Amino acid sequence: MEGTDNVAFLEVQNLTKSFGGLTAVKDLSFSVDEGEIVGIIGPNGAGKTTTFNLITGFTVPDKGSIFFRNQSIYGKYPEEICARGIFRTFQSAQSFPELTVKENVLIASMLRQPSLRLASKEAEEILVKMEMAEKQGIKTKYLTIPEKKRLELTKGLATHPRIMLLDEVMAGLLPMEIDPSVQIISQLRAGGITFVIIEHVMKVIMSISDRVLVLNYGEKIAEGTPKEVSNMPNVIEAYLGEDIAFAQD
Amino acid sequence: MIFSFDLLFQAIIYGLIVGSIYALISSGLTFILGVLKIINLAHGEFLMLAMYFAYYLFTGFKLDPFLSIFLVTPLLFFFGAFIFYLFIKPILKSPVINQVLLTIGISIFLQNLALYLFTPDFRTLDLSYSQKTISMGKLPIGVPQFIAFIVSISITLSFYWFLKSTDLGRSIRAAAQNREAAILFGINVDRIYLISFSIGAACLGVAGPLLATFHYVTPTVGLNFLMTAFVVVILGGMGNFLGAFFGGLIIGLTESIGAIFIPGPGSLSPIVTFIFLIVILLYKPEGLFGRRLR
Amino acid sequence: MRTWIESKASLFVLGIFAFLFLIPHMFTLSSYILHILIMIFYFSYLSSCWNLLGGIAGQHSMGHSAFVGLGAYTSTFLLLKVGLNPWIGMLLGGVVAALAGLFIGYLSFNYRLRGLYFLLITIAFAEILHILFSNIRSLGGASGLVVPLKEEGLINFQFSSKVPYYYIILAMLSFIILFSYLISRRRLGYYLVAIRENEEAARAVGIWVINYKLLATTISAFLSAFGGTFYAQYTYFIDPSTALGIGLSVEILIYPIVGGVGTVLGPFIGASVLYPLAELSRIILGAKTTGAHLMVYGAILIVIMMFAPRGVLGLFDDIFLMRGGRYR
Repeated sequence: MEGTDNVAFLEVQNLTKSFGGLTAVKDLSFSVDEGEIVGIIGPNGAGKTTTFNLITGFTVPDKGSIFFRNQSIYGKYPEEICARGIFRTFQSAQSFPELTVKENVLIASMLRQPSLRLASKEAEEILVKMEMAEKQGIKTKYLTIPEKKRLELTKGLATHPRIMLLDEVMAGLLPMEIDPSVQIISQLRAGGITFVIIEHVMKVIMSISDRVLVLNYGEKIAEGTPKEVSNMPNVIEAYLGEDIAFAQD
Repeated sequence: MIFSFDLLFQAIIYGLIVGSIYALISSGLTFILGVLKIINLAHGEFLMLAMYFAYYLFTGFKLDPFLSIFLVTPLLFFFGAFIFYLFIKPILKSPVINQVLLTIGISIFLQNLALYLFTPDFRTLDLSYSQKTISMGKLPIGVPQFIAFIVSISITLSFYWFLKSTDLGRSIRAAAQNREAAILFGINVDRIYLISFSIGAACLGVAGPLLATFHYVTPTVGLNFLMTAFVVVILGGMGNFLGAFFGGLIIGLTESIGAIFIPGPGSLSPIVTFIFLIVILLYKPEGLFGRRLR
Repeated sequence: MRTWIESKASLFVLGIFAFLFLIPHMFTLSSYILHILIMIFYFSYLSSCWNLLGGIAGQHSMGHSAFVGLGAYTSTFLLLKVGLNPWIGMLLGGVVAALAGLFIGYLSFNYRLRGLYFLLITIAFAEILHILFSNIRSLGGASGLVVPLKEEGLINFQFSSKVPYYYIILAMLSFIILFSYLISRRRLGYYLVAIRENEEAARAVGIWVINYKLLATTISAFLSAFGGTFYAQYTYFIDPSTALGIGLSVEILIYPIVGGVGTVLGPFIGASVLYPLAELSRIILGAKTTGAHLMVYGAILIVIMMFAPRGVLGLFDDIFLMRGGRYR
């Protein structure tokens, strides 16, 4: 990318993490500019979710550095990282099962709103915007997976993030559900939120990402525009045997 | 603090002996924990029942406790199966606290059943060789204790061999590690759970008579051993069998050696065990050897 | 968004409590009945304090007797040694317990102990205190401490009749229930429930899990200690096995689980159901044989855990299926 005087929005350098004898992430470096949508792809076990965990403080790296808006977030707790403006979703769509949809979002709103009343108001607004208002009284344990994923996104918005890390937010969605979700992400990006998206659904990654990173065995093996990456031989080789359809631009 | 090497040596021997029994008791507990992921707070009461069985077999039929092991163990096995089938199986998927309270309920029930049937009197078994000792160097060791030690070690090691080398043992380990995968491999996990729980109880069928040869029998005897068993299980790693073995010996040793250095009556020595537990929980909750659960 | 049921329920609860306050006025109750009611309120109080940490925040502690005992011992010891007024002693006991809670909480939460591990460390902590107090002679050792008789009256927290104790413990219970209810509608309550429901998700929306757990522990410990002082002043006697034993810890957590996990009224309901049941079986069975009534107790526990796993209130909740999760 650029030289040292153009510091990226999110900058990851030499990130490394091993679990026992297994190196999950090895010397990973990349940067994300504000307003970008960066896709991360790679076979299962490539270290994508671990990377998210490392960036957001759920896992402490062995070494490396992580800078967000010019400040180091290495070793910080997830709570603080969220407060600084990085929101992440989980592969398994986490929520507060016994609480209603509205309460879930309310709790997220409380981060930025000083009073309960304001948080409640904002929660309602966001629910309407994300078209979840009609489900607001239902306990989240009764939601379907796609609904839970949308809820997670909604909660994230309530924390006023600058950047959202989405972990397979399209997984389990029917094809007709994917397009609206992609639309939403586009809109949100137009509204000023940066995105880093882990995805297996290639159609999504290719259509929406500005840039794509490819991970394999914990290392970055390729980087470029979606079109560039989909033609790289080492990328194709990494996916050999996996049933992925590359969308041609 | 009166210190002498004789005293230390004696403490070590005694610690090892008691430790071997702890190891056996804890093996059952860690087994249940490791395979079923259930905290059986009634474990102590199973032990207590086994001790009473041994007691009455002796006073009623003059059956030597070391021999009654052959009777009490299958008895405990079936008792365990009974408890599992009626009470444990239905709540396997319940929240932890519910399982805890359920086993507490069983424990309260059994304890008071014993209280009702047997009265709170302390009972001891008066064997012909209860007072006999053998000498290790200058040290006299009680004969019952010594035999108990040998038996505990043997049983625990055979159990370990069983888990490692037999088909059933392998199936059990598979089910413990990954339930879904085991099902896919055609292993009848429900049956494995039943067998494992019963085996866990059966361990006490061995430990009970052994203990009864030199320890008093009373309805509340289970509680003390339960607490210690838990410490051993955590120390050795939940579900880790060898861990329970060495953990038992370690705890036995710390208790008896600690008793030398802590002033005052022996009743302060459990503090050592609890502090030990806290340290382990904080710094190595997966135990000295094992892996963490949940 | 309160439903008809919810608003009626609040009135209903208020009505019950008003009634409870009026009982001694309306009826002359025997000393025995008063004692039973006092004990029900007492355990409801302790369980409600536990509930702040255990039910609402979801961190199940099996060592709360430590806080109760510290409260009882602090106030009684200071009363004996320097004649300190028991009400002030009560406050000091609360502080001591709060500090203990901070300590054990700091250790546990910083090392991320949860579930079974947290349970075990709380047991260990309480048992250490139990053993220590049983062996320290200046604290009465295993025989405990006797509260010295002073002139009767509110100032001295001593009365010859049971009625004043009834009012005091009922007031304390009303306070903790009101307190829990108010918390439930504020940030603290929501955050604690979030922590209970899903710690990772809570962290991901910016909730400082360790801090809030510590807060819950400290408040819970502080208030539990008050119960200890009450007990000491009521029975004029405390000893390590009643005030610091694991039996008390277990009893404290049985009532909320049986009454309804994580609900405001659960502990009260649990105690109101179980305690009289236990007492009844003691009357019927306890007279001639030891242990029989406790067998019934154990059996009841088993049955409830198997058939009403979310407690009495949980049974009702399942009827109003998709309603909100805010605990009532």
